[in-house]
Amino acid sequence: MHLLDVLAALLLTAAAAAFAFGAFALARADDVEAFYFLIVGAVALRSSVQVVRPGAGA
Amino acid sequence: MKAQGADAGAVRRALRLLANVGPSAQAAIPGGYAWAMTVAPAAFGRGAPWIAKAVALVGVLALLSAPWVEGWKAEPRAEAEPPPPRTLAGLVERVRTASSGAWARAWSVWGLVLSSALVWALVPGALAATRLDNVRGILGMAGWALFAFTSAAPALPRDRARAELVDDGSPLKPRSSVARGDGAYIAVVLVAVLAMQTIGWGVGNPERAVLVRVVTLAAGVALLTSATTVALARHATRVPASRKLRMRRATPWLALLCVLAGSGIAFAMLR
Repeated sequence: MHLLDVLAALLLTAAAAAFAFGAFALARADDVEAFYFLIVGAVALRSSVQVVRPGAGA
Repeated sequence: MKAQGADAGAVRRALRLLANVGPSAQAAIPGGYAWAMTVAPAAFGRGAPWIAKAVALVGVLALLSAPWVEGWKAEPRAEAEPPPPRTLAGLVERVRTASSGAWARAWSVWGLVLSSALVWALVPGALAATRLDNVRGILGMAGWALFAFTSAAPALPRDRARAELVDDGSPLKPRSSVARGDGAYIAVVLVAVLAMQTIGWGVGNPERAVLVRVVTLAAGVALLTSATTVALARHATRVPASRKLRMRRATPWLALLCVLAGSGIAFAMLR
């Protein structure tokens, strides 16, 4: 397992946690916090995929 | 080894039995369950109008009568026959020559879905968080998911002529097996996705409750898609990217993540 795979898995876990925090904040009607966590989740998710993308055709 | 073979035989027998029941009858079981969990309490609850009760019964009627519709006309379109063109005349031809299975599925799915939607529209208060029990809501959601799955991909009856060509005991080997670790990736993410579905069931405002459901579903789909990509990327033949390319590709996203995390921490400390 490469170091990049570990980083991607960590970023995926961070994205899941951020989405969960965002959903909790949305349920509490704390819209700013929800928006913040959902953006963090989306960026973490995108980063996790970018990190494992192969070199060719990038 | 012998016990495993016996288990596989029992599963095969059970699937064969289920397939012989017919696709519409299979869908009627989870459909009836979903109806009992989410539609019946709304239609037959206190204060529901009589029209909601009547419409709810149409949904049950659709489920119960679909197996009968299935056996109504038994000549499906020949496989070799080309499909009609995508014109109005083609559409009419499609409807005219549709098999009884297609009619039964349309009647079962649309009959239940439209009648349920109408009941919820007639009794909007029935879905309010104060009246909907969390466990019942989640079980109802699972019932609807199973109904969708069974309607879309029912167990099909065994084709005897073709089955005779295949020897059940032949040593067929799968082309490939699931690589070690992939199952764990998907299982962990699936648990996270399902756990996310338990959030927000106590929200009082219906609009916000729906928004939370939509956001958690979208987040779940995104997580599953990315997890699959990350899991599969481990087995791809790696073409090493140059350091410059890797930096150029990953830096903006990681930097954005760092900025977001830093600003969040700063905001939390200042508040």
